[in-house]
Amino acid sequence: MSHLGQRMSEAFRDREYRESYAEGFLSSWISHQLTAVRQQRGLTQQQLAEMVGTKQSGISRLERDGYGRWNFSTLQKVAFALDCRLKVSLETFGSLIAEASEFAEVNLRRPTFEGDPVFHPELRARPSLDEPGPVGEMRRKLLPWLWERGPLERLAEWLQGYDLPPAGDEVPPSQWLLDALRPDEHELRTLLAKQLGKAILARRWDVEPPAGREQNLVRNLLTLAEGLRSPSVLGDAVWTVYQRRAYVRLEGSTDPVPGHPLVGAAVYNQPDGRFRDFWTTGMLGEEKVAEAPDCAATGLVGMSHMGIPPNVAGIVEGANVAKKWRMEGGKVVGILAHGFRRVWSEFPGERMLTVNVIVTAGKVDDGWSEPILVAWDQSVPGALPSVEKRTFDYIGNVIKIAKRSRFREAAA
Amino acid sequence: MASMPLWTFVSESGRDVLKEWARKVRLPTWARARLDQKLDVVSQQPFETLIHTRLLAGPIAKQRHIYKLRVDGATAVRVMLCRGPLLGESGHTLLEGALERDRRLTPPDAPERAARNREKVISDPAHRRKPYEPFGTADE
Repeated sequence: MSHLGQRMSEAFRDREYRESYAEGFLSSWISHQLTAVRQQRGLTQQQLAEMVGTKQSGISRLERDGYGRWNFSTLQKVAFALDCRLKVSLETFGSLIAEASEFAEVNLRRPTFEGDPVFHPELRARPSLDEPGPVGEMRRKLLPWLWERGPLERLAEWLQGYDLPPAGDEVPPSQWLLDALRPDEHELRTLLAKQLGKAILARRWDVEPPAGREQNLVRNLLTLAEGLRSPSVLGDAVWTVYQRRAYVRLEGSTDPVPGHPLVGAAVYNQPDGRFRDFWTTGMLGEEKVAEAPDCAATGLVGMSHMGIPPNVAGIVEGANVAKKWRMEGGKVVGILAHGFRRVWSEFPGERMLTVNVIVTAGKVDDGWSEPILVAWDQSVPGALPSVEKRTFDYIGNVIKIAKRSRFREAAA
Repeated sequence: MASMPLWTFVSESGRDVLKEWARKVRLPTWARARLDQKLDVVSQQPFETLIHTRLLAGPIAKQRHIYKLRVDGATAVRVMLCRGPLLGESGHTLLEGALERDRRLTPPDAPERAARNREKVISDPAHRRKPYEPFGTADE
């Protein structure tokens, strides 16, 4: 028995003492548990009051330790609004010792019906939390939050870099969360995916996030989705964002939402292959871009580039260009880019891009994705929004090498 | 139980001032029980929650480190306390007891006394405070 328990067991022999203690405890229990569960649900007093049909001041009174004038009907309404039941029970004084000894906030919280392990068996097995090191520390933060379906703000804090283990600043926030779960903990990964899906859908994706941590949050939400790879849970959320971002991009908005993580998230979370046709269509140059009716978008919407002519090879990253060429039917065929390559690896055996001529290269910054290196047909000068001389030279050299070696060789 | 430390101020002669006060005002058993119960809550709940649920009020005007633990009943019992008070320390230190009627404290200078006691704890924490012991039933 704890020190508190020993002391209480002695003092409780006095009837007046134990009854007064129990009376005070009931008041503390109601006020503190109501506060804990309301905050667990992410509700304000005003929001809970509206759900119950009372005033904010009414909830505030219930949450005051020492109030004592509860009404069962009101408490029941509050309990139901919080997706809990109200329990009134006659108990022994002995049971009060354990309850008073475990009065920490975490013990007062209650899951919703959806988080109730009785109805969701996957929640019953609780893995160990005693793993050492910084990953173990992250695990001790993450798992209770998952079990309790904690507030989404907590996830946002982590993904903005707050409250992560002190070691390893170079580790991206999303990686901390991924590392905290073991690969075989499928149920926990699904729980995280569910929370992430809610967080993604709770954001407004049609407005630009302000710079700094908010922008990092956007990036890391998507990176986490990419890493979790839970199509059945995240597919709809990612697709919603993908559509929204594609729309905004085609409207010509400059938009700092990163394209790479979004496409990555979409690639690895496609529930029914819906992206497959969309992407392959785009990659094969059949999708027209409104701003450049004479050109075809040769890459992914959200990943590639406006105003690129139809005979562009794709996204180039350094020397990769030299490795991917081959001739087919008198035409150069190749897949060049890291972005394309990643998507392409998902669809082995798909048709390859057809390329007529590559003579030069440059750097595109369409204001949407990170600046991307591309190759394009010189016969359509000025098609690209911006070209950096330095990048041009670098890629130009790579292209020349490619031309000298394989390209000319193949052409001959 | 994950609890935060709870200390109580001791006089120069090493006497628990809260216990002395309780004896002096003849604090009834029900009030002792309530005080013990609320202090059990104080030791287990985060400070922000204690303020939110109005178990603690304050900081008291002019005494920016002193908070008031409220125990209502036939007699309103108040305990002046502070967080810490040592730098970086969690938990609370009980500094002075008082009764309240019609918003008037007895003794009326309880907050000022508490503030002075807090300074004494800071200057000599090893001798001017000890771990809190419940009031219990016995009037020692």
